[in-house]
Amino acid sequence: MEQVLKVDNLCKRYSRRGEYAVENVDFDCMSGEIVGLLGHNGAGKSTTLKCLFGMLPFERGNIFICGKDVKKDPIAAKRNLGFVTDNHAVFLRLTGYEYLSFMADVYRVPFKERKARVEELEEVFRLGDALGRLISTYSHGMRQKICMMGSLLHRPRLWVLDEPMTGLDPRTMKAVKDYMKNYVKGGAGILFSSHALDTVARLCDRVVLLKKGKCIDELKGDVLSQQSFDFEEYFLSHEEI
Amino acid sequence: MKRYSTTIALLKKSVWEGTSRFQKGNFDLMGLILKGILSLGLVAVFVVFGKKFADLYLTIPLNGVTDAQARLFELFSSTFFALFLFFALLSASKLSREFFAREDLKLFSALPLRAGSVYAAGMITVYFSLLPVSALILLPLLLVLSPAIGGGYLLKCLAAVLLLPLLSLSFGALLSLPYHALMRFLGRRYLLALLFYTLLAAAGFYAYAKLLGGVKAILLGDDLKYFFNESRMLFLHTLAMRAYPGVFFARLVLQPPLSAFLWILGISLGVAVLSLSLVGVISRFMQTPEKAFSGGKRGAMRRKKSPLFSLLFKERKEILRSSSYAFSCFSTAAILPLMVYFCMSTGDSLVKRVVGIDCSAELALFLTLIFGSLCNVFCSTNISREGENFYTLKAIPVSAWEVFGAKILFCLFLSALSQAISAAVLCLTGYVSVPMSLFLFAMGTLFSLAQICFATKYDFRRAKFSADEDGEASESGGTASAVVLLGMLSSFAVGGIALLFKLLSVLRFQSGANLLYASGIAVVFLSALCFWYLARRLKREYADFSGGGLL
Repeated sequence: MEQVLKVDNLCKRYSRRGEYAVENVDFDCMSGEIVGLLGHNGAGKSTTLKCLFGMLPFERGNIFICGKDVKKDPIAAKRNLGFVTDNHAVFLRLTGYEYLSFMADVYRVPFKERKARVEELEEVFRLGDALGRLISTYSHGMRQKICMMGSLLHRPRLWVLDEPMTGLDPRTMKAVKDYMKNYVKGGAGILFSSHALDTVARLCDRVVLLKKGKCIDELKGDVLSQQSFDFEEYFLSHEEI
Repeated sequence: MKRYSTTIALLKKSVWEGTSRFQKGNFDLMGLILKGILSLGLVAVFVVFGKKFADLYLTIPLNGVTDAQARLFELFSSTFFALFLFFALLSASKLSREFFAREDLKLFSALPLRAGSVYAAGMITVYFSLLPVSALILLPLLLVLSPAIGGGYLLKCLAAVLLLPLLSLSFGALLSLPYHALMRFLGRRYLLALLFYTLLAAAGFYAYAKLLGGVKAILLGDDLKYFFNESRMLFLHTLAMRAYPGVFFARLVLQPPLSAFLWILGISLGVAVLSLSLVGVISRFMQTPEKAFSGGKRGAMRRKKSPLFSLLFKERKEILRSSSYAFSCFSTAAILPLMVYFCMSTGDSLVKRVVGIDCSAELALFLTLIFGSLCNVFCSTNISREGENFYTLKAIPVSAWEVFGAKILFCLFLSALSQAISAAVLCLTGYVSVPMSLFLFAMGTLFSLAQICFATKYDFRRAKFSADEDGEASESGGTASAVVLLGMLSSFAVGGIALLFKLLSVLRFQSGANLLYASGIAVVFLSALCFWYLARRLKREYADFSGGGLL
């Protein structure tokens, strides 16, 4: 198994004298592994992921994607990454096809493979005729789907998703979960944040728990699947008062 | 009182929204100063030339009789009529935004609010927003044009300032529905909208050029007296006497005011009641969701492009599919040649006749630079208009130079095209030679490059993203003001000084010093300086960017 993500001692704060939003966070993700990032609201999940995406600068620490440093070699690192943000920030004045073509261009997906990959993703996400329409006319769930399609076109070695199941219909949710399980079999790694404990327990091989910007625990998949383990009780026991 | 409490609550909300513009971080002091200077400058020009024109017009005879009082009445009647049309259209546009295009209308439709309350609050808000404009235009004009000013006259002027927006507003309310329908129609047809706005702007500029021609005629003396011959005067007299409601306002100001006052108030109330009866229709429109342009049902993956070209393609699509961006970007570039040509034709002949000096090249350079700088204002939102998507751009594997390069190349391509047409027009109409037109094109394009580089980096450092998901970045922010101000100052410094120096050197020493080459060097230096400003620490600043005000 190869390490596709290494977050090492990550520290990030939003103002120079302010508190750290994320402090000394360490975790990794191996190929063939699904890792869940858990934490209450404001725990630092989205901040960690935004640093990982290269959206936000960070004060200290390192992030390596497939061995490439996000700070020193950002473009090479990002080429191995597929990302889905929590706010689904997509280019609303493009059509679905235009957005996918744009993403295929920037990730340098060969033209011959584009059609087949879009068809393959269409099987999962089923946007159909909507792909020819402007994204501004899409519903919340449809935007989530087009973001996911765009992030997978180049078959990234690391797929990172911030709250991926929010807004999806049950059929797509099931299809995405199945797709995730199959995707890691091809040697990629997946990291996602979520509040849906059920989904996390069923999907993840490992869970990283954040609290007040710090990594406080890490659970293995075998612990999660134990009958006697009450995941909800465990999660709530870490709630801030 | 309960009946009006919701209207009062809505008005309070408008006041809070209005005052939020003055809060720290939102307040654009430079923009305010710039707007103030430009408005006062425009009013001063209109007042000075209005007075000169009035002095001349009052002496023109009709049927062989010189009647200054009758000419003054015609002048007031037609001025008030023109201003009434202007205010009615302005009200229609403001009310249309207030009734149909506000983001919070969706929220209003879910709240226990009567459509009448929203309507009344909208009318009152727009009326108060029109009052300063009315005072700024009317008061100086009325005070300067009048032959005798007394306390009574001042009171009548004040009444006109208060009543003209009122009457215009009631007609504007009637017009707001068709105005909104037109905007909805154009909103889904981007190319048609672009064509419509470009033609409208071109027509506006044509009218402005005609006005400049009038100013030239006033400056040159007797031309206007020949223009106002007997038959034309008869036609204008008939027209002015029927230019209602301008006639009422002329009577209000120049004659015993009571009957005119009652007429104006009566008509305002009547039309307002009529438009109120349309509240039902308006409220239905308010609740109808706008059908956005869908982009067509068919589509496919397009051919492969390099990341830079893909970013350029995205830029073009996004601008073309927003009518306000398309207008600011494409239409202004399209009418630049028109602006340069009209001002050149008026300015060149004026300078030749008044001073007797041929300085076409210097004037052409000055006009090319100053209008070019005004047309490049659009690039002051190069980063802000991306909104939150700027962070998406940061997350994809493209470099800072590709992101900025696509934006700069797109603006520069349009600007260069516009400058090329402008230079060709000046050459074909004989104002400048072929080498000079090539020089103008090079100068205009380099000057644009400087402005675009500066504006893009300046906006990047002060980016302000819209909080609405599809919100358009406004050009009224501090960045736009700074770009306009610096653009105008630089074009004055480079082109204006060359022109002034030529005029002064001919007048003083009888020999024309040529500063064109010096201007050329200054433009090259300016563009190198601005490019350095853009490039300096760009990669690092891009990686460290966390601005925009949304995080």
